[in-house]
Amino acid sequence: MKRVTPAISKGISENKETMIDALYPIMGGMISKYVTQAIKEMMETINKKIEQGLSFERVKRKAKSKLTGVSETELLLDESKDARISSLFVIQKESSLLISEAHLENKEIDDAHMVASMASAIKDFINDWVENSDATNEVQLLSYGNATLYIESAGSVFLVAFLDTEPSYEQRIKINTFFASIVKKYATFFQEFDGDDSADEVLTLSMEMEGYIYASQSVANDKKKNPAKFIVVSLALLLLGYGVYLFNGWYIEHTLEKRVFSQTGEEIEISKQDGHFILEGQVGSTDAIYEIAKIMKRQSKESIVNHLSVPMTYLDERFKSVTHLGEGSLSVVEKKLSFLEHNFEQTVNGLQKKIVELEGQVEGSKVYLNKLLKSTTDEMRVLKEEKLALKKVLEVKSEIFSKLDKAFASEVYYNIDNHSLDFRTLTLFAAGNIVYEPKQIVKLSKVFEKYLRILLEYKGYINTIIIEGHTDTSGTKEENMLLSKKRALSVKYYLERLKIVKQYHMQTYLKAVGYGSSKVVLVDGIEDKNASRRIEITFSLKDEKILNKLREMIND
Amino acid sequence: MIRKKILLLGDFSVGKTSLVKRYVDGTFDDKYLTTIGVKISKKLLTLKGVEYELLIWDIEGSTPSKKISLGYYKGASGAIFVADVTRKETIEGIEAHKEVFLSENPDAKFVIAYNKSDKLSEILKEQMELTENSFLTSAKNDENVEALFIKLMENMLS
Repeated sequence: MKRVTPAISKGISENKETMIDALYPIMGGMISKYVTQAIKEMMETINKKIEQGLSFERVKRKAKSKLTGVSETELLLDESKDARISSLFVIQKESSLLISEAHLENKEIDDAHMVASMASAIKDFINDWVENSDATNEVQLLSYGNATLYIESAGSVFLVAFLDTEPSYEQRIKINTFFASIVKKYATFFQEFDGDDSADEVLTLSMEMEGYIYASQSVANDKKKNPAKFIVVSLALLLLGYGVYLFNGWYIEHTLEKRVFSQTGEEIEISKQDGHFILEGQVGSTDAIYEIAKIMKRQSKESIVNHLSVPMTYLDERFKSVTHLGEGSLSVVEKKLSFLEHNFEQTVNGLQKKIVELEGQVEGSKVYLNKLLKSTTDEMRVLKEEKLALKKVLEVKSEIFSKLDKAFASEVYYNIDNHSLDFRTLTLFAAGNIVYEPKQIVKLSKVFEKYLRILLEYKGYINTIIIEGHTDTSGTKEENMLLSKKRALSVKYYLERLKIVKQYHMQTYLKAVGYGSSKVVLVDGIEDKNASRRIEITFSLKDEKILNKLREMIND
Repeated sequence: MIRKKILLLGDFSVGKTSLVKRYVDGTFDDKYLTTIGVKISKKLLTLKGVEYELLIWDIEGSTPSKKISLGYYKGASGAIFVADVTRKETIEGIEAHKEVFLSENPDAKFVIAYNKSDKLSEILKEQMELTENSFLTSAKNDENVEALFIKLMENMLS
């Protein structure tokens, strides 16, 4: 390796953090050189895991490997890629101040700034301990229960990724690459950050991180196996196997019945139970019974339970004809009668069995009906409870609407038709821009505060406060969708910082939704582009989903 | 919103934790203090119409067997040095804390709290030599606690 020239060496020693910020994006790329070695080490770990593992997961993996033909190593590799990022923090290393944060929807972290400081303190504490232990590495992973914090440092900042499990080497490299890109872009801002989070960079960085979280989320989703799908496929296979088994039995029975009919002209029923063929039905003569028994013996090695019967008229005629044959034939007749008696007994036994079987079926039906009755009663009770809850929700909803209508009677930004705030006449964004006009956002926030104060009286019933972003029709649908989402997000971030929002912990209630150019404002059939670029704010109640479901049920 | 990191420094049992307890808007559990030697709380302040959030690092006093990470001191914009007004050695100890703090943060500002003033008689209180950056405080009687933080914030902004 070439020696670092003295000038550079001096520069590094005097401005260490600055130099690292500048070099990290390049060094991040160089990491790939060492990936081969990292993968080799990872493979060794995985092979060791395969050899040593003795768990249900391993048996499941083995079975899956046999069924799919995919090696256990590959399956393990696949399993190790599923860590999901729920939040990202960029923290200034020296002051431990949180510069920017981004989260998955509903995964926002309360008191993020305190959490960031505490994460830094824990990191410093462990690093100190590591240094005392003569090790050289910095702490990179902190795990507690199901939560894992992945920490990557560079120059004046470090990135903290909140994950649901330990990230794989591959995922760490991806996170580091993303981190390198933001370090490169915001290096100067990071160094000069003085705790003021109103800077535009804080917002744009947050958006970039949120974009990355969602992008990585979709990759994780693709890789995540769906257990429900696995169960459904397994059940389908089981049912298919059972179907084949039933069909096979039916096919044999049906073939034998056809053969008996073609050779004797007798229609009988053949079924298989406990390894025996059961013959049932009435045939024309006792000879036919013998003939059928012979056919069955030729066709199958299974034993036969003969429940075949002959008509009493036939027996009567047969008896008369035998009497005519004289005394000499009496013994023959007696034998025949004995056989018929035996045959009759078998028929009676068969009928008794059938009766027992039917009784069993009736009992089963009774149990089923009782269960059905119980579940219907339970459902009725739940419906009654839901009805009461919904009645209350309807009352609350109408109360909120009435208060809003009264409070905002002369408010230009209030839409009385849907009880929402509609800022179409407030030019908040310039065309194509996601950064709001500072004066206009202050106006918006004042109206929002008034709106929120009324909603806070019903906080227990509120599900979400929805910030809708809309664009005009300039640009493509996809661009507009992204633009509207970003506009809604930028307003959300601003509103989250309002004192009243923090005081009542309403940050998690705020949701940003982008509608693109799907709901433009038309004036006399012509689009008003300034009005189309707007923000609307509305809310939903907790039990509204149930209410909608009930409405559907009533319509059905 | 502008956020600043400030430290709360002083010997054992001078009342640092009690001092912030009645003042803060949010805090972590006390167990962190004994585990990693620091407890973080926050306080919102509005000065001249600007909102500030102070992230207060309540740092445990170090002992020969337990050294406190120097990383905790870094990047702080200010500090409150706390002494127990009834224990002379804790007042003398402030100089040592100041030295470590200023060596890490030469441009940072600080104030001094002579705490547990409720245990002093009025005569003794009169005899205390106070500067514009030092206060007689009592967490018990809520005396000068708010004034202490506001003064520090003003110093940090000057």
